Amino acid sequence: MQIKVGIIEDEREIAQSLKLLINGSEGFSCTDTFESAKEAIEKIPRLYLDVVLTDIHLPDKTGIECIVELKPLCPDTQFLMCTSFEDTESVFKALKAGATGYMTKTTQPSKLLDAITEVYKGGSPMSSHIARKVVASFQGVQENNELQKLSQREQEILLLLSKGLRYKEIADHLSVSTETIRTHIRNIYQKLQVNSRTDALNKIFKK
Amino acid sequence: MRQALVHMGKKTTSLLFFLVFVPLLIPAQQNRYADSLIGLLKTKQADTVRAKLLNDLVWEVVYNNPSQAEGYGMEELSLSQKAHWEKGIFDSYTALGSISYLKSNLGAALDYHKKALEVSQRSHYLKGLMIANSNIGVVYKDLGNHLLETQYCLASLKTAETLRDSARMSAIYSNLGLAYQAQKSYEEAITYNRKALSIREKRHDTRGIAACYINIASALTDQTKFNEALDFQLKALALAAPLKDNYLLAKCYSNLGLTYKDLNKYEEALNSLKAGLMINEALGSKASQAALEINIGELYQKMGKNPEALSHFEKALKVAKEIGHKKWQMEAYAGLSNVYEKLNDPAKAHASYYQFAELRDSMANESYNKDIANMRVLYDTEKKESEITSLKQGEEIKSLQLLEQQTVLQERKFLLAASAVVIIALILAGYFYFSRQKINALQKQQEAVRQAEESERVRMAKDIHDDLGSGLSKIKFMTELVSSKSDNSPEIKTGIQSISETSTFLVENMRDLIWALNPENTKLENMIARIREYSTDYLGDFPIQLTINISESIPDMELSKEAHRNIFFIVKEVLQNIVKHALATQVNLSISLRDNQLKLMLTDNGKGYSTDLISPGEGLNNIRQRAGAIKGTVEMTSVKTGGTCVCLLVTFKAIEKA
Repeated sequence: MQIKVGIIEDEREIAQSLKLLINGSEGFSCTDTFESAKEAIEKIPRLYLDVVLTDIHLPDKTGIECIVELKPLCPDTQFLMCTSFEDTESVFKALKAGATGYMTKTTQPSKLLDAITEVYKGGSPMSSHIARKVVASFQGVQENNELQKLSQREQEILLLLSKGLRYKEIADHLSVSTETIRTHIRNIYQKLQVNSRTDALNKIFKK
Repeated sequence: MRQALVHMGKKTTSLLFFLVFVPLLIPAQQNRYADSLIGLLKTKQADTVRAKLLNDLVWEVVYNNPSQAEGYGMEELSLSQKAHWEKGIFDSYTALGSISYLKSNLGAALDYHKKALEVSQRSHYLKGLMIANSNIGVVYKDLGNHLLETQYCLASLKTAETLRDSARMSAIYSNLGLAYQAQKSYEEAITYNRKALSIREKRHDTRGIAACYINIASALTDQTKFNEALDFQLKALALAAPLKDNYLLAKCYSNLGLTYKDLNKYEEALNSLKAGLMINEALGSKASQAALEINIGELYQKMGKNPEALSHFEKALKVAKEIGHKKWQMEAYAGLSNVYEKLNDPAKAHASYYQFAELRDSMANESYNKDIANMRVLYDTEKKESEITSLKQGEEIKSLQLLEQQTVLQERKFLLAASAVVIIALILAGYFYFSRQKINALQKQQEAVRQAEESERVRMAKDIHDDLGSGLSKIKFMTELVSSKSDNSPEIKTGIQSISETSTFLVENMRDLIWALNPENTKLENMIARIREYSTDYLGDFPIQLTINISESIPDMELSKEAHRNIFFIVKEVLQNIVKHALATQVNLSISLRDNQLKLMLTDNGKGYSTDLISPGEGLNNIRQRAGAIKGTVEMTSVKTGGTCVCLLVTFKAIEKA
């Protein structure tokens, strides 16, 4: 089974070379590229893609706004945010919007494929900086809301991530498999997203 | 009569000393030549450029030809006004004020400097505020108003301290020294002059040092320490001689002559005074000329050469009359009267004495009027209603003086002085309050500007990074695209590979740049996490096993931006060296935090690269520099197993955010 990849990128050369790279690798296919947020929002919901690479700077909207609109329409598609450098602020916003991974554009081609695979499986490695932001964003969550609360294990994992440990190290440390860690991370991403939605809803109702 | 003469002789001396400070107004560009400036002026230039050139020209010629300088100053002023160039207008007024001062036209000097002050206030030109206040203080000193002098002096000192302008601070110290001298506090006078001197010595300001010597000598003379004064006069002369500043040189010779005169060394005194006289004649400084003629006359008289004395007193009288200088006329008449007495000409002696007495009385009147006028200036400047009353009181008291007894008179005088002191203290307090508020407001404004600039800088850096970053990514992707086509020769592939590597490298460098500009703070704990993460990710691409030992408890500490950046850079550089040169299979990262020190060690089991493979010019030197920047040390040692251990040691104090 191949991972179906879409690309939202306004620079045609980059989009083409990414497409070429993905199609040339075993286990991946890329049929569609989108040059603007408008085009992406129109077409992506009908395509049932597995992973969408999203550029942050688009001519009509930001990649983050694009994900906010697309994620509810296609919950099974994973969005991978592409930034030109590790801008934690934008990355965190993208994660809250529904992205489950991020990469910098200088990532080597082989790493890019790794990142796509990771996101497809659960969520790409979280940096210590992002982990800290995630922990902070859960601090305001109400105690009685079990759905939106982080579990003991998830909190443990986030703490280790924020100390700079990687998935494999955490797996060794907690004597579980890396797959288990990935599942936890995916759950964390989902809670984060739900949280930011309720957050937004609360804000609307308060008005 | 002889008594009077001796007393006035002394006054001559102190008046001659006073004119020294103005050279301090000279801007830095002294060694330009007037001719080349005039040449430049003839070429076509913008008005502001011409104004600037004219200003340079003013300072180039002012000491040798004040009238010519005045012409340049006027032209500069009209050009600057035409161009609506505030800085130019300020410079012109300052130049004109200084020229007027040098020409002893104190009223005009005050007007010009006050206009300069206005310009600097309305354009928030701090340096100008400092210069104008200081110059006004100098003029008030010559007007004999020590209170206003101190007021402006201190206002200027405040700004000088804000601006950390050591040149101006030294000038003000020097002025305060003279103010104390005027109040007969000689020790303080010398202390302040020495403060000025030490700053000027650091600045290698020869002219300023000479001025300090002259002022110290003056204070010593007033204490009748003539021998010590002589030492300083000679030192001043030695410094002034090579400077080609005739104004200063004339001052040095005149003062030296007067000190010799005090020491009764008549021959030396005569030579020096005549040298001073010659230069003053060339400069056209009539007042100084008259004063010197009088002093030479007195010398000849002491030497018993009455005919020579007579001719010098006569010359003094002639020059003093030309410029309407009453004091020197009076002194000349006193000298003449004395000489005629010696020459057995009682009729002429009496006639001269009569003239002397007339002038003395009229000057006493004038001096009273001048005091009134000075108070009126005070009133005009500060717009204080209460000053009028004190003036009126002064007049009332004057009429009462004629009727009342001596004791009552004294009491009244005391009352007047006390009320004047209270009023002036109030004015001073008001002035300082407002000037401080103004300066505070200015500082706030500057701080806001600085912050705006910083955030603008960060924004621009980010923009540049985003643009360049996406461009570089494009290059990278396109090279990937080309290299994936199989029909390329190996050389082309290598070339393409290096293009790709270079663009990656550039993006990395830019990331460092953004980091440096980002004002966000970092905690020690976060930096350690980042180091750990980076090492795992970086070495993960190579067949190298990483083991990590990091202290369990990490102190809660904010790091300075520099520390964060430099430590992280060192880790990156060492890891790169290990990968490139060491051929290692194992690396250990260890961070310990004990005894208020951070100790970071990277050990590998490779073939050793510390001595052979890295030339000092390469990475190692960079690492040392980065460590030095945070007052840390880097040790590079060979391990028994053949590998290398790089150890960074740095104190918490050096990396903690201030």
